[in-house]
Amino acid sequence: MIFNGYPPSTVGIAVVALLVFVAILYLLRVRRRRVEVSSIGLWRELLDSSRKRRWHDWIRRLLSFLLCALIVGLIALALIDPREEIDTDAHHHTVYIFDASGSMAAAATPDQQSMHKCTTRLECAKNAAKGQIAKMRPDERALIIEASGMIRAVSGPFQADTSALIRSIDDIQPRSSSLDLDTAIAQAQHLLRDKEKPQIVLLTDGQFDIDGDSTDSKNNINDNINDSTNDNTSDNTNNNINDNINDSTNDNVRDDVDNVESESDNVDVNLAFRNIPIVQMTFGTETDAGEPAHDLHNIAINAFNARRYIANRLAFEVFAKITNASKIPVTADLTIYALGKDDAVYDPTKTYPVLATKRLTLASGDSEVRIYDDLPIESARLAAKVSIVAPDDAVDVLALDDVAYALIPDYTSPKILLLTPGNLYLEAALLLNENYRVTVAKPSAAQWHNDRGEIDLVRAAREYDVVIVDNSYRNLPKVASEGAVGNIVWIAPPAENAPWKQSLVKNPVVERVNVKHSVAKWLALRNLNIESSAIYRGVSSSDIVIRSIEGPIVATRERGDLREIAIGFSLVESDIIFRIALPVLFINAIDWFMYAKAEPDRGYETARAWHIDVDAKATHVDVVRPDGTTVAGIPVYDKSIAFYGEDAGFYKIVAKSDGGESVGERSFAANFAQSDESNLNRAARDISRGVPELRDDGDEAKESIGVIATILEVLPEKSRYLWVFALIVAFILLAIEWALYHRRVTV
Amino acid sequence: MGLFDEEFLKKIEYLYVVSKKVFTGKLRAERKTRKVASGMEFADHRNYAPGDDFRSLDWRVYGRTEKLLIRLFEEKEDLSIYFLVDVSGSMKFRDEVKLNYARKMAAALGYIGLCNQDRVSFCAFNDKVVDRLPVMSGRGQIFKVFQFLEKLKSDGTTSFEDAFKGFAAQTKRRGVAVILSDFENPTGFEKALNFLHYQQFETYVVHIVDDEMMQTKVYGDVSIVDSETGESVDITLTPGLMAQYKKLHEALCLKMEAYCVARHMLYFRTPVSEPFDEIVLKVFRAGGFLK
Repeated sequence: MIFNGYPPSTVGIAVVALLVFVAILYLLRVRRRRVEVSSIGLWRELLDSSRKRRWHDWIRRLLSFLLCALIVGLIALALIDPREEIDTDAHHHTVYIFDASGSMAAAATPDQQSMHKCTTRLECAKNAAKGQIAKMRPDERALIIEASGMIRAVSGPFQADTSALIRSIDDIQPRSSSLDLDTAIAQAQHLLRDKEKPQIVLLTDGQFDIDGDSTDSKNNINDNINDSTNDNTSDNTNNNINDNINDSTNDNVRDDVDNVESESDNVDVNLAFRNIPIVQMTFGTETDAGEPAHDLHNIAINAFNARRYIANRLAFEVFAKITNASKIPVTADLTIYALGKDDAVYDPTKTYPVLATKRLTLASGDSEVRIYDDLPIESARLAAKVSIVAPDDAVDVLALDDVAYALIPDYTSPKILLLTPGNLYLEAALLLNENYRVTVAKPSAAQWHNDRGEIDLVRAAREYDVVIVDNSYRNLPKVASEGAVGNIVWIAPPAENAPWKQSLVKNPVVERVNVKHSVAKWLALRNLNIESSAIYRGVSSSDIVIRSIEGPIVATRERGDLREIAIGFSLVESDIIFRIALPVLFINAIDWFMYAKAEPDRGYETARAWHIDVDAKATHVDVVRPDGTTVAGIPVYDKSIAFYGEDAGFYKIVAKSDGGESVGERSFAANFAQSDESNLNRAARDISRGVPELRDDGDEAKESIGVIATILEVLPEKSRYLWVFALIVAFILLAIEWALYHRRVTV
Repeated sequence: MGLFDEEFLKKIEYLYVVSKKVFTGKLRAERKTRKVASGMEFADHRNYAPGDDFRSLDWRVYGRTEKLLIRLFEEKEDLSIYFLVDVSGSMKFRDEVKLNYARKMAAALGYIGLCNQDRVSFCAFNDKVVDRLPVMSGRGQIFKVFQFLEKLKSDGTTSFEDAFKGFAAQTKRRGVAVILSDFENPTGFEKALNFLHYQQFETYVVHIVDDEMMQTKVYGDVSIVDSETGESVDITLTPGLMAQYKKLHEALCLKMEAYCVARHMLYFRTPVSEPFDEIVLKVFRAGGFLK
């Protein structure tokens, strides 16, 4: 005998107290009302004639007390919940897989809402599962899996504690991701691998990527949206299913399964996956005809991001893509808000400055891209919200994809120190970009000399973002660069200052521009005439920017915190000064210094593992989620962290060193931007449209069907708490019996 | 003086006046006993017997007939009235409503007796004589009567036989014994009444009945407690049982009445709900002891 309820010792104490209470009440009840008379002589005479009733009274009193004690005992039993201890090998083991993908946050069908007393698909699924779990038999064990882009076993090992299982179900929330069904099924199989009588109950809306390849699925779905048909998706999905499971159709088995299916509207019975029977309960859609249960209107923001222009980082543009996933044309308002610097998510109860609004009319399945390049900078944090305004009766059933976030990247104008004796070509090239704050100084200026009369490059590099040392005129004073940290551009550097060993060549011919190097972007140096140039030795191929036949003449080098670009020739000894390539080269060089290692201006998509670069000094990172919770101590590996984000909104990462000191903070936006989850009008996919895995003789199929039928017996929603009502009735009867016990009402 | 207030005094005065009208022509305060003794009024002659007082010989008759005859005279004697008030525990039921009733009855009848120059005495009893007011006469003694009656407390069990034996032993002079009781006695009343009768007391029975119990609305399982003994009986009160109880009680009363009539005792059944003055008048009209 095992006890699944409260500990027997606790219940025992409660029962003793209750019995004492009942006994007191009983004694109070059996105490008769005292009626004083002057003499009882006559009453005695009367009583003698009815003396035989005493036995009846005694039995009645005793039975009444025994009934009270029995009810107390039954309550105690209900609390202890004793169950017959059965050989664990014989237990039924059930894995409940909850589809917690974003589409499960959509509204369920009205029938399901009323049946399960719920609103969203996930709530309906949870309530339906709770009903089943509450009716678990003693020989049943269950485990709960929350499946979205990530698979979690939320209830611990297999257990029979229904209250614990139900509590774990309560914790399941819809995630901003799609369902990775393959992994979920594989996890369930793994958990059930050595278990007797295994079974899987899949609670889903039937909209998942059966092959787990969300990208392909997304493409398919987008195609389908555009075509306003789901046939291809269904076919593809079925094909995928057929690939994943053994395709051994057995018509007889299918007939039986169909018969079983007909017993419940939203329950599909599937025989698949290594002989483990699967029950698929579908919410929000109907599976019989493969058609949606009703028109599900949804409009989604599939993409929303902000970026700065490379050529002009002071300017930025915002990109938004809106898709109508409804089956009818809808008109919607797209509004872009400027959130506060501390707002991590859009709060509909707050009022935010509106930066732009646009009314869009989209046909079914259509998408529209909006690019805003003239938004005022109210805040770096932007939120886009889309809402249906027409037709009037169209209700957006999925709110998850109605709001998206974007963060305008930080930008500061780089401070540039140009040490040149008077190279106007170079000055002009730098002044072309008005975002640069250029300081021009002559190399002979004592301001930048150290005590020895040398140019103090260490100090200059520390005080400026970029230092350009121009030796085009070959008259550069001696430069003290030892120990410098920062960004330095050498133009025809002296041999003692050059990053590499060099040798001079006359009239080098540019052989190749390394277009893979960001410094060489958009450079056209064909037929560049150079009088002479240094050739650098020992430069790795990835660091070469421009290579002549003789060797590299422009190259980059990174050594710790020192980054250098060496241009081997004098600008004034080549015709580059007349080419557009000169300012482009310097813009590229400065961008390489400033942004090459910076994160690209991109948002993150939820339900993905994000690889986020962090400061080189950081050893671990704290991530603050949009809901304010913090994931602390994420280790840094190779200057980046991996983080799985599930919620849309703004995240903040705080990089920390070994000592726990903060070495940098940054924020980024993450969005639910999965068009497959937004498309609620896809046909629900029934994984049983594949076929059962059967042995040749078919006996296994019959056995499986038997197991499934057993499961279905408990599927109809019936309250397990009928005993509560029975107990209430018992107490009411007791109260009536109490009131009538002395028959002061009826006689 | 809550019980015997001014209104009560008015009532008993009224009763006294009424009693005089009822018994017009009768000698006031004069009850003649059958005792023949040395009175003033000639009654008869009888033969002389040795030992008789010679002074009683009627010499005139002897002179005419030479027979020795003794002259007999009627002796006048005041009537003694004894009020026996039951003060057992049963009388205290419902705030001594029965005892109060008995007090008023005894006071009213006693007042009339005192006014008639009768010798009136009061005696309280339960299973014995608890208290006693000596014989007195004259209207002015009524306040002693009130004080005596007021200080009575109901308690103890009832035993008519033992109490009456004690009473008879203490009372040399026979007379009228008025018993005021509810007669709620498990041992019965017959022997006790017989005893008084054979002790040559002229017995009057005033049976005080509390009819409230007959009209009870308390039904169901109850525990009936004897106010006298404290004993209880568990019973289920139903209308049917109450009807049986009433029948049984009526039968008991009839039996008592029949018993008294058979022995020339006057029996009065008086519910406490009935005004005591009416009962007193009823006693008068019945030709009771006050004439």
